Amino acid sequence: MSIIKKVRNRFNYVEYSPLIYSEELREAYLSSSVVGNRLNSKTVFITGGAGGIGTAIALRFAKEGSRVIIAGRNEEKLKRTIEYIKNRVIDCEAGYRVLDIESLENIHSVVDGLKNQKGYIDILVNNAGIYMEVDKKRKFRDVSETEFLSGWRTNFEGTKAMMDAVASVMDERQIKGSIINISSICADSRKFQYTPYGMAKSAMAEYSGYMRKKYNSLNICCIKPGAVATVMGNLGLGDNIVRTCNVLNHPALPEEIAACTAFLAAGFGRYLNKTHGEITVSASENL
Amino acid sequence: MSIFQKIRRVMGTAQIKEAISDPFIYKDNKKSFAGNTLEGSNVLIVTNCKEASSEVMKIKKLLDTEKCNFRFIYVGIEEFCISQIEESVGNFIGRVDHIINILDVNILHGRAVMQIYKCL
Repeated sequence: MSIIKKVRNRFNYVEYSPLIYSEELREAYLSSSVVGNRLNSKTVFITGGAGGIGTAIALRFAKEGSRVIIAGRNEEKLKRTIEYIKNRVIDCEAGYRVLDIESLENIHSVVDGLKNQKGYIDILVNNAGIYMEVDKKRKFRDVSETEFLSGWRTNFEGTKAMMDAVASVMDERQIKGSIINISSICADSRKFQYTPYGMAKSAMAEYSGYMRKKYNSLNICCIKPGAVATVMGNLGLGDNIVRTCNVLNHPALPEEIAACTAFLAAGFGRYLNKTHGEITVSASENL
Repeated sequence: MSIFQKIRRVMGTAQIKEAISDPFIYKDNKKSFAGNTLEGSNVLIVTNCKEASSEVMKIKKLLDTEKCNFRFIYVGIEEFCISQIEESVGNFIGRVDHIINILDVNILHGRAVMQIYKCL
């Protein structure tokens, strides 16, 4: 090989073909069952269901034949999401509840309301969470008390309260239900260990493990997704999602996390490691 | 774009890579546990379970619902040879798409105990 060729080879660079997160790609990842009809006519309650992973989870459960109830703060967004789900999955049963996960009274009133309805929920998906600007700074000294508490209440306290309230009712009524908590890979990442988000997600994973031990009859699991193509990562439908964040060269699609959630909720979560019941879905080589 | 990147663009050649995704829309199969992605694919299962064991029966039933072509290689703790693979894979049309290793630790444990007894 000539010297010029050798030099030129050193300047070679990698370019990635664009991968557009489109409705077609979303459909492809939602196309067929991943649970062998095990979720048919189950009632699923999803917090943070008005966008991102929550909507994908709602769509997946609706496709699997479950009755879906999504919860969130913004009623308009919830209505739009329900309309979207009903358009995508014909004949699905879907409803919503307005729920501010930061407010413990609101959580208790919603859970009490669910108690009185025909048939209690079989599956709870704790997906609500916020990723604030301050979480990007990654220095605890830059975090004000208000910011910390806001993140902590939504990402941990609200989830904890939901879990406590629903698990006790399930246990009391002898429902062999599932509770799936959507934590984050940030719970294990050194980069995020001093951020309110990382701390709250880590606490959530630990508490999930504790609840798994406490309620043996329930299937309580925790999913730790890596980068996901959602608004939280400034990505959405129509965007080119190619990133060198993992071996797949794109962040996980919300539908992939949804498939994993459905699979675990269908009872397979019971087979996860007995102590914590955690699963990391990131395709990354390191944290 | 940095100066270094600009130089690279002028001097070097682009190597085009694709992000790994599966945009194929699979046929709906309510009984599937794998999003029907295994339909029509060739699956090779390497296991130390016995051919007539209940585990193998369950796996066969499950793979039947996935509508895939599958072959088993039953191996013990002794090394298995290429001819075993060739024999099993010979009936497949096309390449093997998936290889699944199923290791029954209890069987291994039992055999290990037997080996110890033999040594004694």
